[in-house]
Amino acid sequence: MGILPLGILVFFALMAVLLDLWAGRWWAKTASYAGIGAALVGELLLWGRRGNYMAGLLSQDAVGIVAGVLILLFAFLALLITDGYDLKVNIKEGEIYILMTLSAAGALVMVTTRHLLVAFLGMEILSVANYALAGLKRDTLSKEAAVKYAVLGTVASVFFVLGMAFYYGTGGGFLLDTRVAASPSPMALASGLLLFSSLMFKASLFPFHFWTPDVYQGSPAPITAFFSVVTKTAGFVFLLRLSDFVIHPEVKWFILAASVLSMLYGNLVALKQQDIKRLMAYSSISHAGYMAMGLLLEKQGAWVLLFYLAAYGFMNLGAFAVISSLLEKNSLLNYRGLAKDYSPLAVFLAFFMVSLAGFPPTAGFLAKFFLFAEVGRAGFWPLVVIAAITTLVSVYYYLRVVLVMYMTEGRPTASYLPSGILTMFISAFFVLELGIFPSTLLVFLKYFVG
Amino acid sequence: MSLLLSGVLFPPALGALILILLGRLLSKRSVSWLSPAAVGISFLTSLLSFFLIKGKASLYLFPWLSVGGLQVDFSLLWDPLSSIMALTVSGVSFLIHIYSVGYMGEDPGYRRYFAYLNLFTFSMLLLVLAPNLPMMFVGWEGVGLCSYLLIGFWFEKETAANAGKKAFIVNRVGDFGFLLGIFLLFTLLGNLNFDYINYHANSLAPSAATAAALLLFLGATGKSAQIPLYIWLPDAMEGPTPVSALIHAATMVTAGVYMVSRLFPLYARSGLALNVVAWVGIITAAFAATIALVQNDIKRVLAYSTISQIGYMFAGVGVGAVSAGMFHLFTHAFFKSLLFLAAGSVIHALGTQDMREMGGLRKKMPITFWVFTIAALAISGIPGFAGFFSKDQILAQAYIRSKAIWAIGVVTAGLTAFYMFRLIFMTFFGEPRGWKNAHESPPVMTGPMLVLAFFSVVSGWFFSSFHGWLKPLGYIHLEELPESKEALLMGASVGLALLAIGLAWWIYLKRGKGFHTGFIHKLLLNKYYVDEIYNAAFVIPYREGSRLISRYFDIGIIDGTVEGSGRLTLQGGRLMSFFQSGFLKDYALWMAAGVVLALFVMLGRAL
Amino acid sequence: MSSFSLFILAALLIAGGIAGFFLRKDLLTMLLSSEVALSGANLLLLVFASQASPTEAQAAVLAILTVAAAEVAVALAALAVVIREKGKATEDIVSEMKG
Repeated sequence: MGILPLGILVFFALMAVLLDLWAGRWWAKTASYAGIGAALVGELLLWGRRGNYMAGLLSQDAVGIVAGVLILLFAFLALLITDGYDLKVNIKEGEIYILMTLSAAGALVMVTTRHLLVAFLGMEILSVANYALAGLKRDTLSKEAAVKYAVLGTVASVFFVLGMAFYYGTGGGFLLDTRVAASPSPMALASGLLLFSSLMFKASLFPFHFWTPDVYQGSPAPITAFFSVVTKTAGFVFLLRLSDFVIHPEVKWFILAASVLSMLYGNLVALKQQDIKRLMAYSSISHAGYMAMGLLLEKQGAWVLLFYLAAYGFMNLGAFAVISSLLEKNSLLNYRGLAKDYSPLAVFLAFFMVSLAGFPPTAGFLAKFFLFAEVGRAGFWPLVVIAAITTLVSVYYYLRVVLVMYMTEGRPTASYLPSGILTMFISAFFVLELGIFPSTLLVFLKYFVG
Repeated sequence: MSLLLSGVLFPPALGALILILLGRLLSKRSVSWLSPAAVGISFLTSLLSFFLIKGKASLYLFPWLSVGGLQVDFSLLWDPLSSIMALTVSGVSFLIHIYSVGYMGEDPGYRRYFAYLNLFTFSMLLLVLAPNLPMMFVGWEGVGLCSYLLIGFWFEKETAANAGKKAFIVNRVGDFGFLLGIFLLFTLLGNLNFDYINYHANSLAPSAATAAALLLFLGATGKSAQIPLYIWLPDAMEGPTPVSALIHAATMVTAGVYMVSRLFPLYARSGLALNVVAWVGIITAAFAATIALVQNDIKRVLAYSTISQIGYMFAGVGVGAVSAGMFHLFTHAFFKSLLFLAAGSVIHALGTQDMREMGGLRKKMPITFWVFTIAALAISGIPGFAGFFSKDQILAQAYIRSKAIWAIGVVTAGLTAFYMFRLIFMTFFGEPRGWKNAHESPPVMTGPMLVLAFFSVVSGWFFSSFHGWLKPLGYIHLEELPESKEALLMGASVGLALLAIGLAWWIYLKRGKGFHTGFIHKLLLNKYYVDEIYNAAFVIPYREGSRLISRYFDIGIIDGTVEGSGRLTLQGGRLMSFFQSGFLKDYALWMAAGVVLALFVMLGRAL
Repeated sequence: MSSFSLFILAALLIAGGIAGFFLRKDLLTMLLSSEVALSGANLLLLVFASQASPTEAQAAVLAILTVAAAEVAVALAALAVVIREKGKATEDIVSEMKG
């Protein structure tokens, strides 16, 4: 039972490959929707269960199920953004849907295991699909994005395998275990640092974030959205699984430094960006910095982190649904006068920017509120102050996008894509819902995750 | 009974929602009914609640944040303090909505304007009725956002767009302090309800209470335009005048005073924080009043005057007289919004805000003139008018606590009377300077002004019942002063105010008229010379002083810091982006460096 | 070979991979170098495994090699397209996006 959603997803992904060959892209697309949708239902049916499957290779628990639901929901919304966009920018192949489904399957594997090897396999399935996705737009930038992502991804893989080797050397097994992770030997520590580094790459944390701006800029916009939410969720949830390592002060400092530097770097460099996808990339780095604070709380941080991931996912998907509607005219110059010619798009983008900047009554505000309050309560006051100051800085560039749309003149071109608009509505609904009635999610998080 | 509270809060939200969603379908006429009606209902229900609800009531709506030891409900609190605020806010807002129907009649952004205005009223009522800090913060951010949207309402004008931006950014600095204060209180007490905080304030260490109180006060200085974060308010005058009256005079900018009054026990626990509040307040009051002396833009005079009057309120609360401070907030809401509306009426008629291009409007706009005079008498503290009673209470209480604060306050009162009557004499008396046609505003505008004029007189007469109404809060306290002494203090401030009015009259009318016969006649025709005379005759020390202050302090230091830090961050961003060289090898190098550094640190510790 | 000499070999492979990645200028060699480092990491895993239960680790190494091959295949495909387009394989052909 516990691996049902995963099975469904992989089955449909493979079906989609075959259908794409025999029957064309429409069938591949439909199979992808069906697969992710069915897996989502399956994951929801598992709500509250826990257990180990396949001799401990896969294991299901509350964090995994919440993360799985989020990943599948995000992937589904990303499919919706892609639908319609693809033909407008001349991506005619059905692969884009198949690869997204496969990548989501990899992410799902990552969150339903406590076994390092299985996690590595999941991470590689996700990564390999992602490299291909990055290059799908077929222009120079897209190809460059694919190459950079792939080569740097290989380096991150080396970190993971090395970390795995050291872990095996410490405990003689691949299953994550508190005693092994917390053992005082230098080997355990080295393994922790290497595993963290590798996943920080997926989560876009400084100094492993360098792929992020280039890949975000080069990839097709819906794919960027997919990277920024699905990959990040999978990365952070597995980091949460590694939280036993945080008992070492070295690891704690490592996270602390990565968190502070990501906030500073992401928010400061975002100020000068002219390309909206690059701007969103730096925003993504800075949000990763905030989320990393949650890792310092170890297991107690799970609910804050999951709430933040949910909030971030919806507001980012919403923003990218708008960005995709401009069909790869990504310079901020093309956003001039958007409020006049395409006022619904401008309203939505402004709303999501306000949420990303952390204003009430949106989910972005509460996500930061919970996170800062909990981190402050755990005694990391200087960190909270830095986070609050960098949030202050971030308002400036989010606001800039709004100002460009509303207060300058221009002739933007965009197109209303029906499923993109649907995504905007769904995302906006969840951003408001989580901002005003957070208890709907928190009750579950509190009950299951603790 | 408590269900009434939803009738206070939600009608404006509904109005805003309808205007935003269906705005294009509605005719202009229905907008001008719908939007004021929404606020009107809200006002009527607050009035009803005021009479029906005895003492305290709270309406529980749903559990909002309940996790990890944090228990915050979304509910509405009706108690003596919030009832007064809700009445003032909804009442003044209602009048200004009506006035706006006339004032904004010709504007193409009519619907958008009323949508924002309704949204603002909703956010402000949310702020006022909040029973805990997070909900207050939501309202706090909401009013900030609406204020920003309304300042930049005419965003085609670059100055308006920039003013909106400035207000927004300066307020973020304050909000950052506010938010940190909330987190600190959460860490210290584990509960963010006002009742809980006030009840347990005495269990806090004084230093902890000081830190939390001052962080929250930083938020208040931003929202209420006090030193050092006042700089956005004068620029905010770029917005439509009714907005200045509602948001930047009567309601939003007093939110800081309201917040400090709400958490008074916390401030009282830390004597230092209370002193900071009092001194920041009184220094701001004096400082802003000196600047108001040399302004020629009618709205800027009023803006600086607002900053100055809010300073009084903080001084009142800061010396421990919460009821006096809140009473000044209450009376000020009437006469200051009236001043703005009357100024708006003048601007509407003439199309200029420069007082040097006005003059002689008394005959053409009699209603505007009279209501303006009433409001000016009120703000100047002339006996019988509202401002006299509230200001007098603050000064008397300040005298007991600190003679220095009292002295600064009295001098400021004199300055206030002077600049207000300078404004009147320049605008309404003398000969027309540069305008040809002027007309009285339509009844839809003069109506609300007359109502406010009534309250600008009457609202001051009820201090003792106001004080009694607030008493149940438990921390409302006034020091007694011997009657003879009180009369003496009163005499001093009234005397000084009258003297200042006389001086303004002498400089702007008596001598002004004299000039007409002689060579200075030319000077008066020539609007530039007005200030020259004024300087030569009277304010050289003030002028030089306040110019120095406004040039080097206002622009040079404070603006410089804001812009400079902006530039610095941007430069920082440029510098840091050097890492993002575009080369794969560099990226991999930094990644490897991160790991190697971490491993080395670890090995260093292990060996 | 003793496990110690295997350990040395693994270390050499990793070091060589890193050196190759940073010293060589063309992208293909850089990619191959990173694969060499990955093999080193794999070998290290086997060295550690020889001290404990070896079967699990040996299976793991096979799986890792398989997915690494897939990864390299995709990376090479992307590289090949860019190299064909630009006519050379130096690092600067993928350095348009920056800042």
